[in-house]
Amino acid sequence: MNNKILMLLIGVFLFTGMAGVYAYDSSTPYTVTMNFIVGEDTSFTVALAGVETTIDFNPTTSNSKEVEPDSQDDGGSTPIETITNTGNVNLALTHELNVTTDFVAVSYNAENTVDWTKILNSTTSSINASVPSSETADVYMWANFTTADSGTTAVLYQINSTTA
Amino acid sequence: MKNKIKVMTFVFIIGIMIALIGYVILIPKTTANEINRFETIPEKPNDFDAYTREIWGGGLTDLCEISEDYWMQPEFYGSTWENAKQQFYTQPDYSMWGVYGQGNMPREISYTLTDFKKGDEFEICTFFHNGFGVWTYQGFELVANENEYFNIKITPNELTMPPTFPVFENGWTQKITIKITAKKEIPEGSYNLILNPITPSFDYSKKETKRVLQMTVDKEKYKEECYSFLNDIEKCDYLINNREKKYVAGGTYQSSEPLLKLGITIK
Repeated sequence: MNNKILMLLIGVFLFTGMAGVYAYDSSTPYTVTMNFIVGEDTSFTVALAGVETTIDFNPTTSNSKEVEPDSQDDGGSTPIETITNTGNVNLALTHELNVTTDFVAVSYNAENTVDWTKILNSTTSSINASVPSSETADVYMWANFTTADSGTTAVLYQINSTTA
Repeated sequence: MKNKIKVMTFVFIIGIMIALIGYVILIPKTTANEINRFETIPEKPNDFDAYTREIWGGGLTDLCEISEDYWMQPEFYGSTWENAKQQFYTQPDYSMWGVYGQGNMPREISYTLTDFKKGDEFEICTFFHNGFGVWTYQGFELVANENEYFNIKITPNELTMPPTFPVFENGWTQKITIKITAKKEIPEGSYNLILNPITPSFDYSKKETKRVLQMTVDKEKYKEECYSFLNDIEKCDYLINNREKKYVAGGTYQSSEPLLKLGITIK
């Protein structure tokens, strides 16, 4: 609501005062009028734990349970990722994987306790319905492996945000 | 008399001790290697507030003309910077690593073009920056949505944004020029253009990874700051050694809110 008010006020001011900023072609000139400018910044920061730039689970066996990603420490309250809304509008955050893998189930939570009602898979799920400006959203993850394939399996993890 | 001297000596010694304790507790501690986060940022012009008032109030309409002395200041980015300052710089959390994130100012801008004909062109500028608290060199490609009537040329369209943490490195924010050309005669009406960052080409990332690795970084002062917050020398050595000189392909984490919305009304 504040943003809308700001835009309206600036728009009214400029419509009345800023006609014909400059012309490009002197023979048949066009004119440019700035209607409004929203002096705000849509910025955010994604921080990962430790020295990670990706989220990696390394199970010790093919049936390991509640494996934490590298550098996450639920006991020490260090989430795998923290998303900070440094912009000016509230953000609703969701996440998903591009594919669901048969031999691994991933759970997530904003708290440092496992909650297997919150599953991360190829269906969009909510991280936080409204992260206000300057606030953060933590994400913890755990993975259950069941007769996992050997080697490395890579899937794409995607965070989406919309204005809340 | 002797007793009086003894009492005065005792009081004097106690006074000195209290003064020393007070000095140790109350005087802020600084070290020779304290980090100056803003060393690469030009001196703020003394009319900075007046300029930013006019820019964001609509008094100055050509963003391309604004000197870098203004847009290189973190304060140019308004409440975004105020939001980030406490979290990332006053009490930084070294256990987490700011890897991705970006921002842009302004968020939205709208123009009316009158008598804008085929072949006519005009330029606007915007200010794109690495996310606050980010300690990676992020590569981006900037793209605009396709439009039937406008050709859009973005300069630079592929770029690397240096870190904003632990220090603001030169180039952490960059002026982006967007040249808009009429492909053909444009019917009267309103048109929306959107600018967004995506992952740069593989070749660009490969080249930039190598370039960043060849840079010289004085990481000892970063380690000292890390020790002061985590009190763990071994952990800080590990963290700083593994975080320095890291290039990542940005644009993988995006907000649904476009980087820049550009509204054009043709009359």
